[in-house]
Amino acid sequence: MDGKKELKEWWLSLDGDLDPAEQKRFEEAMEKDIVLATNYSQAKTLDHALSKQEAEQPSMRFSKNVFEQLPQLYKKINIEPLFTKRALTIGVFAIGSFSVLSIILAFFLEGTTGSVESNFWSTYIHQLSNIPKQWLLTIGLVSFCLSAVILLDQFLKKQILKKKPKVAP
Amino acid sequence: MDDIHLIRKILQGDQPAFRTLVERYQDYVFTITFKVLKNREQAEEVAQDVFIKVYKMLGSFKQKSKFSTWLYTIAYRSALDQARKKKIRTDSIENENRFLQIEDRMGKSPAFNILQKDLNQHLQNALEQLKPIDATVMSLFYLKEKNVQEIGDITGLSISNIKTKLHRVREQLRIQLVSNLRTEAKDLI
Repeated sequence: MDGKKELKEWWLSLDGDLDPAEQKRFEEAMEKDIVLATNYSQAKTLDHALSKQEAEQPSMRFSKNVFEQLPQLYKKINIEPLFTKRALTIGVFAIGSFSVLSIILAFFLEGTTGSVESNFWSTYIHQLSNIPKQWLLTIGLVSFCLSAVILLDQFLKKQILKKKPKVAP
Repeated sequence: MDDIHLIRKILQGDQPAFRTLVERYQDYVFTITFKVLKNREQAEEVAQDVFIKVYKMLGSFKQKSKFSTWLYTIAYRSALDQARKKKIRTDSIENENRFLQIEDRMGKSPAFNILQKDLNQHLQNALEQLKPIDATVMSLFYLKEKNVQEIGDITGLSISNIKTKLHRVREQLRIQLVSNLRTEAKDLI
Protein backbone atom coordinates (compact mmCIF):
# COMPACT_ATOMS: atom_id res chain seq x y z
CA MET A 1 0.00 0.00 0.00
CA ASP A 2 1.43 3.38 -1.01
CA GLY A 3 2.09 5.73 1.85
CA LYS A 4 2.28 2.94 4.43
CA LYS A 5 5.45 4.39 5.90
CA GLU A 6 3.52 7.44 7.13
CA LEU A 7 0.99 5.32 8.97
CA LYS A 8 1.46 3.72 12.34
CA GLU A 9 1.92 -0.01 12.20
CA TRP A 10 -0.49 -0.74 15.03
CA TRP A 11 -3.35 0.86 13.11
CA LEU A 12 -2.37 -0.95 9.93
CA SER A 13 -2.35 -4.20 11.88
CA LEU A 14 -5.76 -3.52 13.46
CA ASP A 15 -7.28 -2.63 10.10
CA GLY A 16 -5.88 -5.76 8.46
CA ASP A 17 -3.75 -3.75 6.03
CA LEU A 18 -0.52 -5.63 6.69
CA ASP A 19 0.32 -8.60 4.51
CA PRO A 20 1.16 -11.86 6.36
CA ALA A 21 4.91 -11.25 6.26
CA GLU A 22 4.55 -7.70 7.58
CA GLN A 23 2.11 -8.85 10.25
CA LYS A 24 4.54 -11.50 11.41
CA ARG A 25 7.41 -8.98 11.57
CA PHE A 26 5.21 -6.59 13.53
CA GLU A 27 4.26 -9.28 16.05
CA GLU A 28 7.90 -10.22 16.50
CA ALA A 29 8.82 -6.56 16.97
CA MET A 30 6.11 -6.18 19.66
CA GLU A 31 7.59 -9.07 21.61
CA LYS A 32 10.88 -7.23 21.84
CA ASP A 33 9.64 -3.63 22.18
CA ILE A 34 7.40 -2.83 25.18
CA VAL A 35 6.58 0.66 23.91
CA LEU A 36 5.36 -0.77 20.61
CA ALA A 37 3.30 -3.37 22.45
CA THR A 38 1.81 -0.66 24.69
CA ASN A 39 0.91 1.52 21.72
CA TYR A 40 -0.74 -1.45 20.05
CA SER A 41 -2.69 -2.27 23.19
CA GLN A 42 -3.90 1.33 23.57
CA ALA A 43 -4.85 1.48 19.90
CA LYS A 44 -6.76 -1.79 20.21
CA THR A 45 -8.67 -0.50 23.24
CA LEU A 46 -9.52 2.70 21.41
CA ASP A 47 -10.54 0.79 18.28
CA HIS A 48 -12.83 -1.39 20.37
CA ALA A 49 -14.37 1.66 22.09
CA LEU A 50 -14.93 3.34 18.72
CA SER A 51 -16.57 0.24 17.31
CA LYS A 52 -19.06 0.33 20.19
CA GLN A 53 -20.25 3.79 19.14
CA GLU A 54 -23.89 3.68 18.14
CA ALA A 55 -25.74 5.76 15.63
CA GLU A 56 -27.35 8.91 16.97
CA GLN A 57 -31.13 8.78 17.23
CA PRO A 58 -33.42 11.62 16.18
CA SER A 59 -36.53 12.61 18.11
CA MET A 60 -39.67 10.46 18.24
CA ARG A 61 -41.47 12.87 15.93
CA PHE A 62 -38.90 12.54 13.15
CA SER A 63 -40.76 10.30 10.71
CA LYS A 64 -44.04 12.09 11.45
CA ASN A 65 -42.41 15.42 10.58
CA VAL A 66 -41.08 13.96 7.34
CA PHE A 67 -44.52 12.70 6.32
CA GLU A 68 -46.21 15.97 7.10
CA GLN A 69 -43.98 17.64 4.52
CA LEU A 70 -44.14 14.97 1.81
CA PRO A 71 -45.60 16.21 -1.47
CA GLN A 72 -48.17 14.07 -3.30
CA LEU A 73 -45.91 12.94 -6.08
CA TYR A 74 -46.57 9.36 -6.92
CA LYS A 75 -49.91 7.86 -7.86
CA LYS A 76 -50.69 4.19 -8.09
CA ILE A 77 -50.14 3.02 -11.65
CA ASN A 78 -52.54 0.37 -12.87
CA ILE A 79 -50.43 -2.39 -14.24
CA GLU A 80 -53.12 -5.02 -14.21
CA PRO A 81 -54.15 -6.29 -17.64
CA LEU A 82 -57.26 -4.75 -19.18
CA PHE A 83 -58.93 -8.11 -19.59
CA THR A 84 -58.92 -11.32 -17.60
CA LYS A 85 -56.71 -14.02 -19.02
CA ARG A 86 -59.55 -16.24 -20.17
CA ALA A 87 -61.56 -13.44 -21.81
CA LEU A 88 -58.39 -12.16 -23.45
CA THR A 89 -57.47 -15.57 -24.81
CA ILE A 90 -60.96 -16.17 -26.23
CA GLY A 91 -61.18 -12.67 -27.63
CA VAL A 92 -57.78 -12.84 -29.31
CA PHE A 93 -58.53 -16.29 -30.70
CA ALA A 94 -61.90 -15.19 -32.06
CA ILE A 95 -60.50 -12.05 -33.63
CA GLY A 96 -57.60 -13.93 -35.11
CA SER A 97 -59.79 -16.71 -36.48
CA PHE A 98 -62.22 -14.29 -38.02
CA SER A 99 -59.46 -12.35 -39.67
CA VAL A 100 -57.80 -15.51 -41.06
CA LEU A 101 -61.13 -16.87 -42.27
CA SER A 102 -62.05 -13.58 -43.86
CA ILE A 103 -58.85 -13.45 -45.82
CA ILE A 104 -59.07 -17.09 -46.92
CA LEU A 105 -62.68 -16.76 -47.98
CA ALA A 106 -61.90 -13.52 -49.75
CA PHE A 107 -59.15 -15.32 -51.67
CA PHE A 108 -61.10 -18.47 -52.54
CA LEU A 109 -64.48 -16.88 -53.23
CA GLU A 110 -63.16 -14.34 -55.66
CA GLY A 111 -65.33 -14.42 -58.75
CA THR A 112 -67.68 -16.95 -57.28
CA THR A 113 -71.25 -16.57 -58.44
CA GLY A 114 -74.25 -18.76 -58.13
CA SER A 115 -77.61 -19.13 -56.66
CA VAL A 116 -78.26 -19.03 -52.99
CA GLU A 117 -78.96 -22.43 -51.54
CA SER A 118 -81.24 -23.01 -48.65
CA ASN A 119 -78.79 -23.88 -45.84
CA PHE A 120 -77.22 -21.35 -43.55
CA TRP A 121 -73.63 -22.03 -44.56
CA SER A 122 -74.27 -21.49 -48.28
CA THR A 123 -76.18 -18.33 -47.48
CA TYR A 124 -73.30 -17.17 -45.33
CA ILE A 125 -70.68 -17.83 -48.00
CA HIS A 126 -72.85 -16.20 -50.65
CA GLN A 127 -73.30 -13.09 -48.49
CA LEU A 128 -69.60 -13.10 -47.70
CA SER A 129 -68.76 -13.23 -51.37
CA ASN A 130 -70.86 -10.10 -51.90
CA ILE A 131 -68.70 -8.16 -49.50
CA PRO A 132 -66.02 -6.27 -51.36
CA LYS A 133 -62.67 -8.09 -51.04
CA GLN A 134 -60.96 -4.90 -49.96
CA TRP A 135 -63.24 -4.69 -46.95
CA LEU A 136 -62.48 -8.27 -45.94
CA LEU A 137 -58.78 -7.63 -46.30
CA THR A 138 -59.08 -4.45 -44.24
CA ILE A 139 -61.06 -6.25 -41.52
CA GLY A 140 -58.44 -8.99 -41.50
CA LEU A 141 -55.55 -6.57 -41.21
CA VAL A 142 -57.24 -4.52 -38.48
CA SER A 143 -57.96 -7.74 -36.54
CA PHE A 144 -54.34 -8.82 -36.73
CA CYS A 145 -53.14 -5.40 -35.62
CA LEU A 146 -55.57 -5.34 -32.70
CA SER A 147 -54.54 -8.85 -31.64
CA ALA A 148 -50.88 -7.82 -31.84
CA VAL A 149 -51.50 -4.72 -29.70
CA ILE A 150 -53.37 -6.70 -27.04
CA LEU A 151 -50.68 -9.38 -26.92
CA LEU A 152 -47.92 -6.77 -26.83
CA ASP A 153 -49.67 -4.92 -23.97
CA GLN A 154 -49.95 -8.12 -21.97
CA PHE A 155 -46.36 -9.08 -22.71
CA LEU A 156 -44.96 -5.71 -21.67
CA LYS A 157 -46.99 -5.61 -18.44
CA LYS A 158 -45.72 -9.09 -17.58
CA GLN A 159 -42.17 -7.91 -18.21
CA ILE A 160 -42.65 -4.92 -15.88
CA LEU A 161 -43.98 -7.18 -13.13
CA LYS A 162 -41.24 -9.73 -13.61
CA LYS A 163 -38.36 -7.30 -14.03
CA LYS A 164 -35.71 -7.71 -11.36
CA PRO A 165 -33.66 -4.54 -10.90
CA LYS A 166 -29.88 -4.89 -11.15
CA VAL A 167 -28.02 -3.61 -8.14
CA ALA A 168 -24.40 -2.51 -8.49
CA PRO A 169 -21.95 -4.71 -6.54
CA MET B 1 -38.20 -6.36 1.90
CA ASP B 2 -35.05 -4.98 0.28
CA ASP B 3 -34.55 -1.33 -0.68
CA ILE B 4 -35.15 -1.78 -4.40
CA HIS B 5 -38.53 -3.43 -3.88
CA LEU B 6 -39.49 -0.68 -1.46
CA ILE B 7 -38.50 1.96 -4.01
CA ARG B 8 -40.62 0.31 -6.69
CA LYS B 9 -43.60 0.32 -4.36
CA ILE B 10 -43.02 3.96 -3.45
CA LEU B 11 -42.93 4.94 -7.12
CA GLN B 12 -46.27 3.20 -7.50
CA GLY B 13 -47.74 5.48 -4.86
CA ASP B 14 -47.23 3.30 -1.77
CA GLN B 15 -46.42 5.85 0.95
CA PRO B 16 -46.23 3.34 3.83
CA ALA B 17 -43.29 1.81 1.95
CA PHE B 18 -41.54 5.15 2.23
CA ARG B 19 -42.18 5.18 5.96
CA THR B 20 -40.37 1.82 6.16
CA LEU B 21 -37.43 3.33 4.30
CA VAL B 22 -37.34 6.38 6.58
CA GLU B 23 -37.41 4.27 9.74
CA ARG B 24 -34.71 2.01 8.35
CA TYR B 25 -32.25 4.83 7.68
CA GLN B 26 -33.22 7.74 9.91
CA ASP B 27 -30.60 6.95 12.58
CA TYR B 28 -27.71 6.79 10.13
CA VAL B 29 -28.81 9.89 8.22
CA PHE B 30 -29.22 11.81 11.46
CA THR B 31 -25.81 10.62 12.64
CA ILE B 32 -24.16 11.95 9.51
CA THR B 33 -25.88 15.34 9.73
CA PHE B 34 -25.21 15.57 13.46
CA LYS B 35 -21.51 14.79 13.03
CA VAL B 36 -21.25 17.65 10.57
CA LEU B 37 -23.49 20.23 12.22
CA LYS B 38 -22.88 19.40 15.92
CA ASN B 39 -26.38 20.65 16.80
CA ARG B 40 -29.32 18.29 17.29
CA GLU B 41 -32.07 20.63 16.13
CA GLN B 42 -30.25 21.70 12.99
CA ALA B 43 -29.17 18.14 12.27
CA GLU B 44 -32.72 16.88 12.61
CA GLU B 45 -34.07 19.60 10.34
CA VAL B 46 -31.47 18.82 7.67
CA ALA B 47 -32.07 15.08 8.01
CA GLN B 48 -35.81 15.62 7.45
CA ASP B 49 -35.03 17.73 4.38
CA VAL B 50 -32.79 14.95 3.11
CA PHE B 51 -35.66 12.46 3.15
CA ILE B 52 -37.98 14.94 1.41
CA LYS B 53 -35.32 15.50 -1.22
CA VAL B 54 -34.78 11.77 -1.66
CA TYR B 55 -38.52 11.22 -2.03
CA LYS B 56 -38.66 13.79 -4.82
CA MET B 57 -35.58 12.37 -6.56
CA LEU B 58 -36.48 8.72 -6.15
CA GLY B 59 -37.48 8.37 -9.77
CA SER B 60 -33.99 9.43 -10.84
CA PHE B 61 -32.15 6.88 -8.70
CA LYS B 62 -30.30 4.85 -11.33
CA GLN B 63 -29.15 2.01 -9.06
CA LYS B 64 -25.52 2.54 -10.04
CA SER B 65 -24.70 2.25 -6.32
CA LYS B 66 -26.50 0.92 -3.27
CA PHE B 67 -29.46 3.00 -2.17
CA SER B 68 -27.84 3.57 1.24
CA THR B 69 -24.70 4.98 -0.38
CA TRP B 70 -26.80 7.36 -2.48
CA LEU B 71 -28.84 8.41 0.55
CA TYR B 72 -25.82 9.01 2.77
CA THR B 73 -24.12 11.02 0.01
CA ILE B 74 -27.12 13.35 -0.16
CA ALA B 75 -27.18 13.59 3.65
CA TYR B 76 -23.48 14.41 3.85
CA ARG B 77 -23.59 17.05 1.14
CA SER B 78 -26.75 18.63 2.51
CA ALA B 79 -25.18 18.85 5.96
CA LEU B 80 -22.00 20.38 4.57
CA ASP B 81 -24.03 22.96 2.63
CA GLN B 82 -25.90 23.88 5.79
CA ALA B 83 -22.65 24.09 7.75
CA ARG B 84 -21.22 26.49 5.19
CA LYS B 85 -24.35 28.65 5.30
CA LYS B 86 -24.24 28.79 9.10
CA LYS B 87 -20.47 29.21 8.99
CA ILE B 88 -20.07 26.42 11.50
CA ARG B 89 -16.47 25.74 12.42
CA THR B 90 -15.07 23.00 14.54
CA ASP B 91 -11.45 22.92 15.63
CA SER B 92 -9.61 19.74 14.89
CA ILE B 93 -8.50 17.50 17.72
CA GLU B 94 -4.97 18.51 16.70
CA ASN B 95 -5.67 21.83 18.43
CA GLU B 96 -4.60 20.92 21.93
CA ASN B 97 -5.78 24.15 23.58
CA ARG B 98 -9.32 23.48 22.51
CA PHE B 99 -9.13 20.01 23.93
CA LEU B 100 -7.95 21.38 27.28
CA GLN B 101 -11.05 23.55 27.43
CA ILE B 102 -13.17 20.41 27.44
CA GLU B 103 -11.40 19.30 30.58
CA ASP B 104 -12.52 22.48 32.35
CA ARG B 105 -16.16 21.75 31.59
CA MET B 106 -16.15 18.21 32.75
CA GLY B 107 -16.34 18.51 36.50
CA LYS B 108 -15.34 20.26 39.66
CA SER B 109 -12.59 17.99 40.89
CA PRO B 110 -10.32 15.46 39.27
CA ALA B 111 -11.57 12.78 41.62
CA PHE B 112 -15.13 13.56 40.65
CA ASN B 113 -14.08 13.35 37.00
CA ILE B 114 -12.53 9.95 37.37
CA LEU B 115 -15.58 8.61 39.14
CA GLN B 116 -18.05 10.04 36.70
CA LYS B 117 -16.16 9.84 33.44
CA ASP B 118 -14.47 6.90 31.82
CA LEU B 119 -12.80 6.29 28.51
CA ASN B 120 -16.10 6.42 26.60
CA GLN B 121 -16.99 9.83 27.97
CA HIS B 122 -13.54 11.20 27.17
CA LEU B 123 -13.90 9.68 23.76
CA GLN B 124 -17.33 11.25 23.19
CA ASN B 125 -15.99 14.66 24.13
CA ALA B 126 -13.02 14.19 21.84
CA LEU B 127 -15.16 13.04 18.92
CA GLU B 128 -17.38 16.10 19.27
CA GLN B 129 -14.35 18.26 18.66
CA LEU B 130 -13.41 16.69 15.35
CA LYS B 131 -13.76 18.55 12.08
CA PRO B 132 -17.01 17.65 10.26
CA ILE B 133 -15.19 15.66 7.59
CA ASP B 134 -13.06 13.78 10.12
CA ALA B 135 -16.08 13.09 12.33
CA THR B 136 -18.13 11.81 9.40
CA VAL B 137 -15.32 9.58 8.13
CA MET B 138 -14.82 8.14 11.63
CA SER B 139 -18.55 7.51 12.11
CA LEU B 140 -19.00 5.94 8.72
CA PHE B 141 -15.89 3.79 9.19
CA TYR B 142 -17.16 2.28 12.42
CA LEU B 143 -20.89 2.24 11.65
CA LYS B 144 -20.38 0.82 8.16
CA GLU B 145 -18.10 -1.88 9.49
CA LYS B 146 -14.97 -0.42 7.98
CA ASN B 147 -16.04 -0.23 4.34
CA VAL B 148 -13.58 2.34 3.01
CA GLN B 149 -14.79 2.15 -0.59
CA GLU B 150 -18.29 3.14 0.44
CA ILE B 151 -16.98 6.00 2.55
CA GLY B 152 -15.13 7.23 -0.53
CA ASP B 153 -18.34 7.11 -2.57
CA ILE B 154 -20.23 9.09 0.07
CA THR B 155 -17.65 11.75 0.84
CA GLY B 156 -15.90 12.00 -2.52
CA LEU B 157 -12.52 11.39 -0.87
CA SER B 158 -10.00 8.94 -2.27
CA ILE B 159 -9.34 5.69 -0.41
CA SER B 160 -5.79 6.68 0.46
CA ASN B 161 -7.01 10.04 1.76
CA ILE B 162 -9.61 8.30 3.94
CA LYS B 163 -7.07 5.87 5.34
CA THR B 164 -4.64 8.69 6.10
CA LYS B 165 -7.37 10.66 7.88
CA LEU B 166 -8.41 7.64 9.90
CA HIS B 167 -4.89 6.92 10.96
CA ARG B 168 -4.12 10.53 11.82
CA VAL B 169 -7.30 11.16 13.77
CA ARG B 170 -7.18 7.90 15.68
CA GLU B 171 -3.54 8.36 16.55
CA GLN B 172 -4.27 11.86 17.85
CA LEU B 173 -7.19 10.49 19.84
CA ARG B 174 -4.99 7.81 21.31
CA ILE B 175 -2.29 10.25 22.37
CA GLN B 176 -4.74 12.77 23.84
CA LEU B 177 -6.81 10.21 25.72
CA VAL B 178 -3.75 8.54 27.19
CA SER B 179 -2.46 11.94 28.26
CA ASN B 180 -5.76 12.98 29.86
CA LEU B 181 -6.32 9.70 31.66
CA ARG B 182 -2.80 9.82 33.04
CA THR B 183 -3.35 13.39 34.23
CA GLU B 184 -6.53 12.39 36.03
CA ALA B 185 -4.87 9.36 37.57
CA LYS B 186 -2.01 11.54 38.86
CA ASP B 187 -4.45 14.00 40.46
CA LEU B 188 -5.98 11.19 42.44
CA ILE B 189 -2.69 10.21 44.00
